Amino acid sequence: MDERLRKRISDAVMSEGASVDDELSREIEADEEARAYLDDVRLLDRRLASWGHEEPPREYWRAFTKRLSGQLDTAEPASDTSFTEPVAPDQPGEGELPPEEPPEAPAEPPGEADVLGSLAALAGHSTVPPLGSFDDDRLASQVAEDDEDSGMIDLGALARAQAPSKDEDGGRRKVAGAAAPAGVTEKGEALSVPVQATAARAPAAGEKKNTGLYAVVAVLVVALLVVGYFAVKPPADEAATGDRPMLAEAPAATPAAPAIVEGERGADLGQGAEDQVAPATDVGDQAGASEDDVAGGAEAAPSKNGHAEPGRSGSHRDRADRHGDEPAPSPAQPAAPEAPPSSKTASVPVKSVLAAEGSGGGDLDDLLARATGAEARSTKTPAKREAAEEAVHAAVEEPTGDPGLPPQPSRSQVRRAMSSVAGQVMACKNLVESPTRVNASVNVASSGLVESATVSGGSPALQDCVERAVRRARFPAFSEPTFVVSYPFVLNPEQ
Amino acid sequence: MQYTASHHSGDMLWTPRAIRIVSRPEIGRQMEEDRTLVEKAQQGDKTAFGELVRKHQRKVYAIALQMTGDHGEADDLAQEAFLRAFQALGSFDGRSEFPTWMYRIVVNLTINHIKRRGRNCAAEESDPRVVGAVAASVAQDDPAAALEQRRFYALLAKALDELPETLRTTVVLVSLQGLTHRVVAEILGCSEGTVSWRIHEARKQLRERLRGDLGSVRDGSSGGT
Repeated sequence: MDERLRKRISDAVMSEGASVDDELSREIEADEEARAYLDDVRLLDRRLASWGHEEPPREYWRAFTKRLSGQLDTAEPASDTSFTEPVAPDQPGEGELPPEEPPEAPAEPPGEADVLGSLAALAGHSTVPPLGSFDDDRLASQVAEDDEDSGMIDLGALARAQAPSKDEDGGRRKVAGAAAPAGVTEKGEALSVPVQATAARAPAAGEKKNTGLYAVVAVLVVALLVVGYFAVKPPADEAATGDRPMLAEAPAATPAAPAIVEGERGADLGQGAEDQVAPATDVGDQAGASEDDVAGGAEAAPSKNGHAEPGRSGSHRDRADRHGDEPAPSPAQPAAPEAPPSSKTASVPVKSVLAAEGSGGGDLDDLLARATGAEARSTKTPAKREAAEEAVHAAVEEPTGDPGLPPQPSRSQVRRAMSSVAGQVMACKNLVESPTRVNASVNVASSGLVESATVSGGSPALQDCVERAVRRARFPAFSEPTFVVSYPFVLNPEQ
Repeated sequence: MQYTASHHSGDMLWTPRAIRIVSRPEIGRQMEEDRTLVEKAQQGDKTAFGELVRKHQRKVYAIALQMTGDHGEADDLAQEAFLRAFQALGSFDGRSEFPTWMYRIVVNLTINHIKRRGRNCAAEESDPRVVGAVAASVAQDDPAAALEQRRFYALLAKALDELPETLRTTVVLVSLQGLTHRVVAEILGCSEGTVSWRIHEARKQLRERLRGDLGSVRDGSSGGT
């Protein structure tokens, strides 16, 4: 069992009355060894707390004081008072727990060869030839021999299916985009992989089906060129060819003119082609946004309905950090549904892309959420959720210094705060044998947190148990430096 | 028998810090009384010091007994602790409360004593701590449970004695005497975090030493407290 978990259990169970919070309970529930440890610690604590001793009779104490009194008569003031000094200060190594295991480094995106290796292994082949010597026919036939309907991926068939684009790409790619997931190699390339196949294949299929269509397309293209020429405007399909950077024009000016993300941003958004489609509509929504506007949008990107949504840039930065990249200056633009064979060729400066998306709602999570409807925030990572929750708690718990705060908590607030720990006080029940009244004096800081607590009445173990319980009370913040409440509890074994 | 707790709000009090002591009925009164007695004792009033002795002698003795496991030694150590306290009363500056200061003295003397005489690694069922545990337990009228409890506490006492000095002292003060971590930190001169760590470490070591016996106690729920 993890030493830190042991320590947390130990801290939580300082006495039988202490309770274990929900998160720790879940961890304990999931770990048999932790459950055993908790049981043992509780048993030990109970036995230690109830470890009484025989009280000497009254005569003993009378003799004790009489004897001492005789010694005091002849006692001289001590010249050396070192015995009043503490003797067990912190020792080196005390309080140290084993270093926390570093969080697992984010797995490198699998290279293409790794993917092939995995797929081949899945198909029952332990070794995969290097990319340059991929023998798809042999592999395909072998897989077919193994099991024609095994449900496994036939890499050879996939490779053959890619044959036309393989030719068109100059043999650059060996497998179909479907088998090469986004984010496999270079970040920008990764993003465009799945769409490359689409872009390359679609016209080829059209050719085979209907050559007459080419004539119609050609006429249309010519017509568009003519119209464009007269309008002194570049043709609409020019951007899609990737022959010129889009920044020269109004960035991502139309939904139909897909923006290609280059380099780091591609990695940042390396979620696959599906992720890139939904935000593309926002590009058009924000057409014409200036770069200055974009900068503002990065800080508090206004949402579609015009409300500011601060913190968007932070979420992107988080994601960039997880990928080991430099933090992006601001939210990035998703990629286009189509891309040329190499995304590097469609060099769209990030800034322009941001201009389109930065003011359009930025966060990919939100864009996806918008696309999927109700689960607007469900795509947030747990880490982000925790950070948000912590911020909320901090906002609640930190003293605000607000002069509008009441000088002290009201009576009902005090009662509520103390009632909230009554259950934990009740848990100290094992430490009383008869109805026992204890009085808890709780010193509360202006933040509402309990600074200290002292308990009178009952046995030392009971006092300790009640003290631990009342220390958990949380009061509303108030303006005076401190506040003391004296609160009695009665532990009644008869009820 | 079912235990329940109830809390009363009728006599709840709250006051600003300035008059906190006045508003703390029990603890505050005790502390104030101690301060008054200490002041008088520092001026040579032996009766006042005698009153301090009467107020704190049981706890001082109990600490010594639980650390040594011997009535005679605990008696001597408690006597010596009060005598030394009286002799050093002039140096008591009130930074800590008198009981805290007193507990520190007896802890120091007891640790030195144990170092001199060597560790008692043979806690037996005749150990006063074991006898006391059984006597104070509700199981005393059940011979079988009393026997089992006696056996368990003998093992626990032995395991406690085998703990390193700082861990043993911390367990005695926190777990047996029920002192708060803050007070124990003040007594030992360490941080509260270190007190917490020592308790954690002591539990681990005690559990290791009592592993099989804890299981049997739990399963048989012998001598429940």
